[in-house]
Amino acid sequence: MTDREYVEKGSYTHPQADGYIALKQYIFIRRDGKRCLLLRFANEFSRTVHGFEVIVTQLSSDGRVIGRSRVPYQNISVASGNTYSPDSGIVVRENCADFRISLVYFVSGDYKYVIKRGHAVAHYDPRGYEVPKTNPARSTQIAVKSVHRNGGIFTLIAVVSTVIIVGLCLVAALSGSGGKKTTAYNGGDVSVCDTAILY
Amino acid sequence: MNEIIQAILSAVIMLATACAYVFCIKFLLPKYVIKRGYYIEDNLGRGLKRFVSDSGRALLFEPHPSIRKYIKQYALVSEKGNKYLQCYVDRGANRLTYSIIMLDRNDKVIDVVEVEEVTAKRNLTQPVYLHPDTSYVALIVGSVNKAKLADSAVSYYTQNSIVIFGMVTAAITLVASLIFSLSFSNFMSNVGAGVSSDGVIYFLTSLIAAVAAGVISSLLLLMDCNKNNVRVIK
Repeated sequence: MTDREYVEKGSYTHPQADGYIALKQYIFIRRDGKRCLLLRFANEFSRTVHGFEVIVTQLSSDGRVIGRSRVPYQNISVASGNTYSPDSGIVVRENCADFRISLVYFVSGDYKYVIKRGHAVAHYDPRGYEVPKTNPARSTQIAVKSVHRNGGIFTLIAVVSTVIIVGLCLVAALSGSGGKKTTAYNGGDVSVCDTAILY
Repeated sequence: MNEIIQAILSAVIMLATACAYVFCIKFLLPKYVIKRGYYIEDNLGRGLKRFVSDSGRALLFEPHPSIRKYIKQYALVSEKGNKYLQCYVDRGANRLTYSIIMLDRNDKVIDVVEVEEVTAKRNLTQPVYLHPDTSYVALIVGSVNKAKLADSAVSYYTQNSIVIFGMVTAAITLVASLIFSLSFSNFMSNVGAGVSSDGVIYFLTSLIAAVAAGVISSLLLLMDCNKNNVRVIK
């Protein structure tokens, strides 16, 4: 069983980059004789964050920098607006009285957002991101169809117009034949009929 | 013998007229008379970054602000001669329909594809393979979670172009109908069938055919616009 002693607890109030990953609270504890720092982050980004890295700068009581370390948090899934408290604490020096946190980058989906001068610059980096096992399968395309070729309607127009031309042409040719008479043999009876009816 | 040759000649003229007529209506008029316009300017993204690797290169874009709440970013990737597009969509947009207008380096529309996709929690869409000459694209979101967006029209016709299309169709129909009717009359008389040889009747029926074809073609085009979400603007 680990021996844990709470030393100090507080809210982190130093300026941070807005809208990304922000440190909200911290606790200095003593665990197994070592001074540790436990942190609680909040995802202020608009999407789920799957990993990030911070630089922790340790300060002594007189404000001197006594240590600096990069701390990565990988293969996590923190939804937008949720908080994230890593289980593992950061071991700090005994004379560490204060600290500063600066966000280096964070990963959301297939994009890695690197913080530069307080702003996130997106990098498309699908290989740098491992899908947590809880995530479902890939997206599914239901349909991809080209809508540029609009030949269908013009084919229909051409067919309809051709039918109109042919139909009216036949009507004109046959209706205007003017009763030119011809004979047709009809089962032994000789009958007189109009050519237009025959054709 | 002479009558048979004339009959064959008339039949050939009829066939040629019909073929030329269909060719004009199906290919020439859409290309030169009624051109479809596309909403490109209002749907272009902003280039953010270029990536070059051994396998190819990629361009990362930020979409137009009107759709940025649905599609956060998109990437045009060129790998081994293939070009494809992948979108990073908002996690709230589970089912997305979007159109991709592909443009070449001369700003000419090459192709337009409509994609319907169910996105997973990773929010990254499947690759949509583009025409090899595609230089950039314009994205238009049609619907999100089966709710159709108001401003989702991809293309348009002008009212004037539809009217001109109807008039040109009528004019071509008049000419084609006259040629066809006279050839038909000649053919029938050469094969010994008694048909009208009155030119006035053929002209009147050709005129009726022309008006009918002009009106019906315009109406069919308008119905097609309504069906395929193509706007008709002034």
